[in-house]
Amino acid sequence: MTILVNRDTRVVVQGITGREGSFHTKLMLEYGTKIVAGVTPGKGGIEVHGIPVYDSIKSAMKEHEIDASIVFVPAKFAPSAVYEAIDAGLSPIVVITEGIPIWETMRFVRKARQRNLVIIGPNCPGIIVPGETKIGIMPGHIFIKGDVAIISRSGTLTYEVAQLCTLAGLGQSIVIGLGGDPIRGLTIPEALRMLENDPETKKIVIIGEIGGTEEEEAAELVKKNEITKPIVAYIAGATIKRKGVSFGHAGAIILGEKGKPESKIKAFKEAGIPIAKFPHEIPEILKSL
Amino acid sequence: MFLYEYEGKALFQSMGIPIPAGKIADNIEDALKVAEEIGYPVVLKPQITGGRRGRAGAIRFIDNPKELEKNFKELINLSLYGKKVEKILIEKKVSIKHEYYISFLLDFSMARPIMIFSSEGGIEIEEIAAKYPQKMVTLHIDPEEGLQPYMVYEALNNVGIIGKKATKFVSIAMRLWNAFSKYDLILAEINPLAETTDGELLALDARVIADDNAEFRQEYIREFKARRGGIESIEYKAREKGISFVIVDEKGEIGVIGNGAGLTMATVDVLKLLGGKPANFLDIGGGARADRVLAAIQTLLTVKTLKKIFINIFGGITRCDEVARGIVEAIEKLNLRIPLIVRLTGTLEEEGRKILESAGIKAYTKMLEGAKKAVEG
Repeated sequence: MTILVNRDTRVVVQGITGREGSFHTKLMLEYGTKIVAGVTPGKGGIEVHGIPVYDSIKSAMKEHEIDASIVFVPAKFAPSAVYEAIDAGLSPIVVITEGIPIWETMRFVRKARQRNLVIIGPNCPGIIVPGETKIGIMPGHIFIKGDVAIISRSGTLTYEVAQLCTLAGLGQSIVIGLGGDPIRGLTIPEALRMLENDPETKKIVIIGEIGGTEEEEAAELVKKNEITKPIVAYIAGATIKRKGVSFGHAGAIILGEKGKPESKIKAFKEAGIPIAKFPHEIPEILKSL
Repeated sequence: MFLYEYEGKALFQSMGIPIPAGKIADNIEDALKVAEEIGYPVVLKPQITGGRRGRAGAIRFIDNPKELEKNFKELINLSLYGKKVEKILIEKKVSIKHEYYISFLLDFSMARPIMIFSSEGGIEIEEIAAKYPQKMVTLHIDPEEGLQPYMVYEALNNVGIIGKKATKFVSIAMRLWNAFSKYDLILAEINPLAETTDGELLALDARVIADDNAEFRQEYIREFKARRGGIESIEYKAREKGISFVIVDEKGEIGVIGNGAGLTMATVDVLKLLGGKPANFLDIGGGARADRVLAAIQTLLTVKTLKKIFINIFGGITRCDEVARGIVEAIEKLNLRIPLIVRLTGTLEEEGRKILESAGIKAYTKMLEGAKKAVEG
């Protein structure tokens, strides 16, 4: 059993007819993901890579059983797509879309939490259980099955770390790209709680970034012994000093003392979590735990 | 995006929050005119985003044109917290009876807005929290319900502000909330919120962060960005092409291009830890095509201190062949004189590698190898 998703998870692709939606539907199908339907309002009745397209999730659900959603809809229209998935009770809802206004994200994240549904993202690469399912845009071939979980606020840096682990023979139980926006559905502390109860996961890699306070909150959970599995942490942007600028991710805006790299590094150290200075040190540290 | 004080105040004023009379100037002639118009004494406030200007001695109180000339010349072009002062706000000096603090911000982990009010202001919020915790109140707001006046009365009563006086503050709080929610802000802070000797409430400062993602529906973000000058205008032009570009060291020697914010930040870190001097952060974003890669290299060429460029790409949604095509095009079109070090892996890696080889560029597979080459040469 794995957490959140597995080989049997039935997925709807929202925005399946767009450039990215269609391209990644093909790649996900090749990986073995059980995509059962696509949704693009106004495009109902056609097929994309053999997958039937509907105008709405509710119409798709008359014909198919659906558990989860992946959203490729452009930022302007993405909130509507996410509310639609929430209304249909899908979970997780993986929001790939980049550039959604934070006030919109705040509202749909709150609604999903009230209904106990999990949103992953927005602005994220998605989730992969190697060898089982990929609900995301990551290159599938760099992951192998194993017992290391990787949770990350970054996209390409996740690939970098996953590949380093794979090359070192360290396979992954699950890799979750939580997304780069300041307000996100699934957070680092929540993901840690899930992984603590995941029998497939033995060790955890946290890839954090400057900005926000989730790394500090995660360290707190470890201190309180709520998380007991061994963890390695890496913080991107640790050498960057320019205050108040956004490095692509609005999440990397540094507000106050918390959020600065020193604060995160201090919190991890106090919790006894080893910190990799370079990405390539992560596999070595994992092996030593 | 951090707004300048004068930009933030313009937003506040549009919602009916009173601010002192004043205008910005970037030259002494205009500054003298503004001061003449509003009348002495005035205050000179250099416009930089972030940083504590008062502590740096950069806020000056001025009684006459002679003093204005001397102080204006001292402040303009001054470097404050690593930023050059290009504009100075000249404001009417007000006589202050007491300073308060009010702000709205988004609590990221709880996904809700909060209001912070303190009956002591004028110093940084961290300091208020440490020195006067009993004078500070925090209000959690449900974004669907919005801020309601009763909540603010309750909060104010808790710090001893009651009756007619409370009503004045509630009116400011509601207007600030309107600005905060209408303009897609992440932070809207008035510190100090001054009570003048005439009993009027005035926003003496404005610290505002706007959500860049809301640019498509907030005309003011586009206007403010277009009006700005200096380094930030290069950054702005880059953003128009889908590139996030930030200078991290104005004397840096290695230009950095990466895909994805996390990987690009990690690249800057690795170069620095290896002893190199990275100059910038440049993220070509996801799914960049050849033209965006070309634009990225073009953007870096505006940085005159560069001795080489390190391009670090891990293809996912971005395809290596597109990146390679952009690099080759840049070499041909831009008459590139500084060396390019390229690391390329991921989606369509082989195709990308072949394109680069045909132009005589060897691409590294591992980030560390490429970074070492970029630092050591």
